[in-house]
Amino acid sequence: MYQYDALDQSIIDQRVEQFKDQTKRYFAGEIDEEVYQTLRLQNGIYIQTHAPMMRVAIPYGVLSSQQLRKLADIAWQYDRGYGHFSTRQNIQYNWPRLEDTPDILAELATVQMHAIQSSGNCVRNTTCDHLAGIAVDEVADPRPYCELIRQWSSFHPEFAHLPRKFKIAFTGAKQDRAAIAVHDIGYRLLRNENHALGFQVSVGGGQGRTPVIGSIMKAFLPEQDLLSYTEAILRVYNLYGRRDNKYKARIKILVNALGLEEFTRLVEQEWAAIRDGGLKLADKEIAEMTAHFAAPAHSNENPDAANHSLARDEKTEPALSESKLFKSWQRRNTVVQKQSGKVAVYVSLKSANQAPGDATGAQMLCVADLADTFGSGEIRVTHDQNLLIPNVNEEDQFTVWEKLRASKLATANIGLLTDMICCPGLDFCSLANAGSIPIAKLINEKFDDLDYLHDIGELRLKMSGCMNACGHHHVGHIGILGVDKKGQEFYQFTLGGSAENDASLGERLGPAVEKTEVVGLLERLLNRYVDIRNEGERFLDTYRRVGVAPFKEVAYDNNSAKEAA
Amino acid sequence: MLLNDKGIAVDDSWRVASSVADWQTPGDVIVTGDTWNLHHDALRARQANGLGKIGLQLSVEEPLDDVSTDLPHLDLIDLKFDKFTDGRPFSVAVLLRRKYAFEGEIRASGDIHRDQLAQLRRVGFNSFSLTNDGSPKSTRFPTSAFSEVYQNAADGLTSVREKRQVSRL
Repeated sequence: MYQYDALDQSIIDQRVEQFKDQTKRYFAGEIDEEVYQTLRLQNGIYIQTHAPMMRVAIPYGVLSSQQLRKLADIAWQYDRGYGHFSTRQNIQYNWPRLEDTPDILAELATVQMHAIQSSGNCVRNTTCDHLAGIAVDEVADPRPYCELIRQWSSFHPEFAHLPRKFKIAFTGAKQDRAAIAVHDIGYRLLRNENHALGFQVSVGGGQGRTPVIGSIMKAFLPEQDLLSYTEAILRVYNLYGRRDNKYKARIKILVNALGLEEFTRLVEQEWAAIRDGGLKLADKEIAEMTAHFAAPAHSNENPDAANHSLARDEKTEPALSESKLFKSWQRRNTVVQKQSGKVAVYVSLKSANQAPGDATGAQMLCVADLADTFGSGEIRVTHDQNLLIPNVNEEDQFTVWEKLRASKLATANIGLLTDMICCPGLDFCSLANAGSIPIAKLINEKFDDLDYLHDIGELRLKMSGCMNACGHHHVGHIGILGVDKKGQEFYQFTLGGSAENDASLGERLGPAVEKTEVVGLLERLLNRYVDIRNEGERFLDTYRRVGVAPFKEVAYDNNSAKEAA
Repeated sequence: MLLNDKGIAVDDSWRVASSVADWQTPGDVIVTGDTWNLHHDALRARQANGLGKIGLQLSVEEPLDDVSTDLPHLDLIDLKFDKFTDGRPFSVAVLLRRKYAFEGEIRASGDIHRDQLAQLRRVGFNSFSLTNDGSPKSTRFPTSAFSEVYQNAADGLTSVREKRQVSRL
């Protein structure tokens, strides 16, 4: 992974001093509330319902074991012993004291971490495929480009006061696991007919109140032009994005208002002027950055890896195959890598014991230790709010499973119903209309039979406590949106969303139902799916075949229909 | 208070002139876009007669392109911030320096605060009309934040990328 040089370290150290000084001046009454708000947001600090919330950046979701241990330390020293991993691969602390935040930043800086621009109207953390560098279907590793964008965007003086936040995501594989279609800019790494590397560029995707699938604005952007093209897009957005209405200020609104053609014309015009300037990436520069992300020693790429993953079950040793639990965990929670003999192990943060995406300090230490002992010392954060330990030897899977189990990190549910994306919701967030974590709990309680979950198969359930859609409900196979109906918490269902290559926005099922009806409705949807599904169809596939009607027919029993009216 | 590019309070050699009466007295005057459009010829004549320099104040709503042909005749552009959170003038300054090769003074005025000075300086502003300076009172404010910068910008500082290029050779 990327290692800071003296220049990088110097910058974040100075950033810590800068924020220390600003916070001191704020507490001394020398900075306006409104001004300090923008300063603290660009250091990841919100003032929330119960306490400040601090969002620490985990650039493109990659962590060293040392960094993960530091995150555990911070959870213990400054918070309530746990952290929450977010849909943008960052970590959030829900209970720090505002006056401690400069010290937290200083601690983070000792392990090359920070909270730079993790909030505010600026370029946020760039996210990417959690299988970057290891995926069997990889074209090329997107992480070097994520790091180049991270540095280009950090403290960019022109773009600190954009109309609104700006989110960039990268994928370097055939399957998009980074939800690039619902990002402000989505970069898909590919090769052109000359085998040169570049990006398909999609723009204006997003969720929230006006969900939009991004539009392809450029089929192939040469890799050398990544920074200049991004800058051109940002400059056009900064100049022409709406500033009159916070809910109409994202770039998706601008792209829609101008039309893709005109928007692209403005960007290309600006880009033409800067393309050959200082932002052009030299081949040596790209190569040097790529070298930071080279696979660990003793890794050989296995061209046959795709076939290998299918044959895996047969390869399992007889002793291990007796463990049905292990086998079902292995099937859901491990992924064969392109590197021969290696698997990546998911760490499920979706057990029934905790809010989705939460991890205690002890759990973080467990994962860090496993990464060191059995992996390559690296951990990834997925945008589904789980963790991943890459580069585990196949023969160590059983041992790793046992150790994860002991820390309640081995729920065999990756990609299944209970592997929910869930925002913090009303319990923590001042923007929320309804609780989301309590619903997750109810769903976990009801659907606790792993055999049943495995039979249902792949089901991406995504839940948001308000229209801001931080839980990505628009792109859930089943989406749940919390709404406020006459002061009460109600829940709206959508069906058929997807954040993958076939990206789509969910369709509204029907009227919102109250909290006590949610689980029953969900169960009726699943039962209907089981009844009408064809061989091999996921829930999403069945919905796409039959539409919403068969589900709507059964979704509302008498009680929920009455309440909803 | 007017700050120069080093963040030091200096006397302002410019004054804002909004009417014909205002600019009868010699001296350097800043006029709004509307005034410039209405009295363009008179102001240019004033300039030709050596009565003083002309500066143009643009609000966030006034496009730069509309006045681009006038830029060679102007010694100062004052970009007035409506709200410090409305970052359009940052991009306007970038375009002034790069696209229009404007070499005169670019001033930031309106709703700006001292923790923005470094960013303003980097994109090409070289004077700052600071009214919200917080307290305690000072006549000197930092116009640079960090000793290293990731981006190349109008201030000409050597970026981290450039330093790495050199060490790569």
